Amino acid sequence: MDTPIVPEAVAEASIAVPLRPPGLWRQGWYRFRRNRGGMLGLGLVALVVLVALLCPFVAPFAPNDQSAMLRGAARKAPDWVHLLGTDRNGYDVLTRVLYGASTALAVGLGAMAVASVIGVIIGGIAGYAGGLTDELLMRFAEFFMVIPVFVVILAVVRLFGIVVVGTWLESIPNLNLMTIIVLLGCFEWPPIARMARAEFLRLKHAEFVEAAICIGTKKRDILLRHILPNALPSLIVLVALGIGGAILAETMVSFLGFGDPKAVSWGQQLHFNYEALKVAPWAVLSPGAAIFVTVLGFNLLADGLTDAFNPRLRR
Amino acid sequence: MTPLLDVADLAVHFPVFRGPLRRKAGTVRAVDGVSLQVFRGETLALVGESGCGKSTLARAVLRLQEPSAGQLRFEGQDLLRLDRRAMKAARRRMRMVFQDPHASLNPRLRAGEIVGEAFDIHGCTRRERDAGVAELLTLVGLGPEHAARFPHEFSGGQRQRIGIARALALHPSLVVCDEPVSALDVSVQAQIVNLLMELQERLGLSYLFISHDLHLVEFIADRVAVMYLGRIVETAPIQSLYAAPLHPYTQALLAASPSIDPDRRHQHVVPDGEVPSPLSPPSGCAFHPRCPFAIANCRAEMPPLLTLAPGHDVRCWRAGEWAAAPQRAAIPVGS
Repeated sequence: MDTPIVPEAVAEASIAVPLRPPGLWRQGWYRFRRNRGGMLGLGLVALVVLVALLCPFVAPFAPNDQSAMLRGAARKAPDWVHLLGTDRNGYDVLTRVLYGASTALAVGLGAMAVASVIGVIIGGIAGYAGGLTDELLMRFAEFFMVIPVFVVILAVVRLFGIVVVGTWLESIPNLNLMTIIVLLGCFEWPPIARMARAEFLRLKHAEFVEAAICIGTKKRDILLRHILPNALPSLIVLVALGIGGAILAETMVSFLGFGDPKAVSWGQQLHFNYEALKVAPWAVLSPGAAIFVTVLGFNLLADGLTDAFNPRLRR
Repeated sequence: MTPLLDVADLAVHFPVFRGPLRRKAGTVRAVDGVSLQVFRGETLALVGESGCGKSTLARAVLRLQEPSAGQLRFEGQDLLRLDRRAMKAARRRMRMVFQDPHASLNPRLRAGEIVGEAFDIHGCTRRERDAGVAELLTLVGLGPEHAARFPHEFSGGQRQRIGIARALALHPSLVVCDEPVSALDVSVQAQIVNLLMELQERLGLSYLFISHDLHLVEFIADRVAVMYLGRIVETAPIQSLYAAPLHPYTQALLAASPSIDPDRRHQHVVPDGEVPSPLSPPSGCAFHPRCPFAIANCRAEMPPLLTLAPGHDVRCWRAGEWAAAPQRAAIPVGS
């Protein structure tokens, strides 16, 4: 049985707070909070996340509702029923824009998750092992940096779409989108690997790592318990920046018509409506603005994080 | 009596690569044929200028740096021949206290996790670890309640206490202290030094104590080894080294450190010039370019480590003369 003793809890809280100086994350948050651009970015990203989570409840229509077409109301200007109008396929633009947020986030987060895993593993091994391993892995990373991602994605999406026909893979929903996510991840990792390498190289000679070796700590613990957590702040900045980049890349692929036809994507809306830019500009401008806001949000967030976690870089 | 730690002819050489093709341009002999012993319960101080190889030697002893040559015996085992499991077992018995308490504690771990890590590695139960952490924190003058805090919540002196507690986990016999107080405030230095000495007495520890502070060394050490450019130039018990230093370099070091005792003020034999590059050490005795007493033989040949008194070894061709004439005033000094 534990009865809460209020006076003691209050006393402890009032003493403990000033006694505890802020940790690394909290210090970063203090600096971040004072960064106007970073806070704006955080706000925009929060908005996008909120929209992605709430779109089934807020959206006025179903994402695949084309009934406006039957009523002859395609390319209709905004009114009280269709707040942002309808596009040439009879979709409600607002609904599609709201649903597009979850696709964009899935692409950004998914691609960067793949890129982070590959990048941290390759960069970490390169930085920690050093020597020839380092040299080979970094040349490998540079090889990936010079390949034009775009051409590869277009080719693979097309070829893969043909190859899977008739196999069990065809039953996976949004297979094309997942292919794009994985491919983006497979080409976005070199910057993360470079940063991870630099951090592992710096940290493997840190005194606390040597102290751990002295005690007899296993290599796995040295890497996962001592080095990786201290490398995270620098990596998170790159990941935030990469999310924006991945969203933009998926948009471009979709805009060219190579995206996932089953997914609701801003790029695809542009693809279907850019020809009617003069007739029904609302069908293009809204998804365009959504892309702009999302990518801007992630870039500002990354900028703010850089200033917060590497304060010495400024000035 | 067999020494706890027996270092014999230990060498640590670093190849230097230059140019676009990374051609080998030479070798830095950071530690070059060092022999020393640490006996049970004693403190051996290792002194010398920065860059003379003290820290490299300490790192080599703990195998943080692989030695290029020589032997390393600890508690009768040849450390350089141990397989991984035996080495892990040996690491229970030898530890290090680092110079900078701000760099030597992982900022992401709590004090309890830092101190308790050794217990986890060497197969203790959770309960044993928690009890051990509480005991160690109390031992170094902190309290068990500090275990839940992060390093940034402590002052420099408190952090060094955590570093000491970490080093003492699971009862090591040898602790290598690499300038453990030089990064601390003077007022805190004394506390930490006293703590180290008190712990030595209570736990029967042996220290290899690296320092450049001769006053501190006189206070804490039983024996002193003076290092210059990767070699030991003089080893002596503490009293005889301070009363009658035999190597000109030791004399210069003692003269350079200020003393409030007028009887202890040595004549200034401050060597001019810089420490030569270990990449191309001078011929013969490495100290001869800076030595006011150098003779022809010093340039030609490296003097051996001569034993002039029990426990007092000197690497100097003219050490016999100094030993015979303990009053240094008789020797002309080029000033």
